[in-house]
Amino acid sequence: MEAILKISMNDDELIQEIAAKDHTAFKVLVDRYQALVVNTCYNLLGNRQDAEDVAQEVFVKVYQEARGFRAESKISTWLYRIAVNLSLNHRRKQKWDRYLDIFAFSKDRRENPAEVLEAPEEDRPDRQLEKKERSRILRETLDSLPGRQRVAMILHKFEGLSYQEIAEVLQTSLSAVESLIHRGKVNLQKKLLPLIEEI
Amino acid sequence: MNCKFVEENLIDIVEGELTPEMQKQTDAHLRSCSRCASLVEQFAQVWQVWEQPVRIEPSPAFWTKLRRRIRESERKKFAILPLLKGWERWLRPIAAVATLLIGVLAGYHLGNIPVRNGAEQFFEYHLGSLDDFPTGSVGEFYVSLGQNN
Repeated sequence: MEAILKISMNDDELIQEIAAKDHTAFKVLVDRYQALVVNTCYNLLGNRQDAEDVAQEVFVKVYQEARGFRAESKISTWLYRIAVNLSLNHRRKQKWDRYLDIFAFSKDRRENPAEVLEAPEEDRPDRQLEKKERSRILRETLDSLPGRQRVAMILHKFEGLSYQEIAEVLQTSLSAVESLIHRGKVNLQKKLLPLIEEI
Repeated sequence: MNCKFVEENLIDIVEGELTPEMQKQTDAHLRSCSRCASLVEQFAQVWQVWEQPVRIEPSPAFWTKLRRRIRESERKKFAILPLLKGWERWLRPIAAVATLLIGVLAGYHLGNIPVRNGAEQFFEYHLGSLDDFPTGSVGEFYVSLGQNN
């Protein structure tokens, strides 16, 4: 009964309940936004397991910091912001891990980069080889872009966010986002051209 | 309109962002240049990937794992141990850097010690003890000793 009541609550009301450490309200919020958070992390990290792991960190942070949430922005903007920051941190940590692995002499290496960039087979069983190849090319090229350009392109193209929404997520100006996306497109085009000519 | 224009404006071409006039000229060029036509087609296919983003379903155990994580985070809230988590992974690189530094410092120190030959050392440590002898030859010294007695 309590859960049913909370399902009808709006986001701000849920956040107030979560700030008071209400688990039912938290579950309602997680159910409402887990797909959005997991997919954002997945698009930023390119790996399902990492995406779920970081998505969980996002919700842990929401639970811990709900009291500090200001209702000036939408909760989805807040979630996107945390997801982007934690995903970028995760990528940085992965890079450090790779350096440290050199010293560890361990055979237990991280997954290979191609695996990281490509979605698992079960996620898209109906795709043909060519489509997979194109997807791989775009994702690899995207991955080589500077951090903020990559994030802006992903949020705009995959998540369908407007420039204004991206500006709120990245806490920057609208013109900065326009510039990021313009430079992202120019860089993508430059990097994609030789790869496409090879196909 | 030429091939260079097409190569530099592939995104605008496939996204339909060209002005109507430029679009017309580009279409005309693509009809006459098979290489550019093929390039635009290939690029458009790659660019289409944006329109078919891969969506994944969160695993059914998402909430269960999350609840466990929340419980752990609450338990560890005041613990110092998590701060030390993973420290052992840094041990090897730190040891390698420390060894290298010690080697460099030791080499630098050894390089600064003056190198002297045996004769120099003899004069420094042994000849100094004759400084208290009176002037003149050793013979005179012995003679003067005898006279004093």
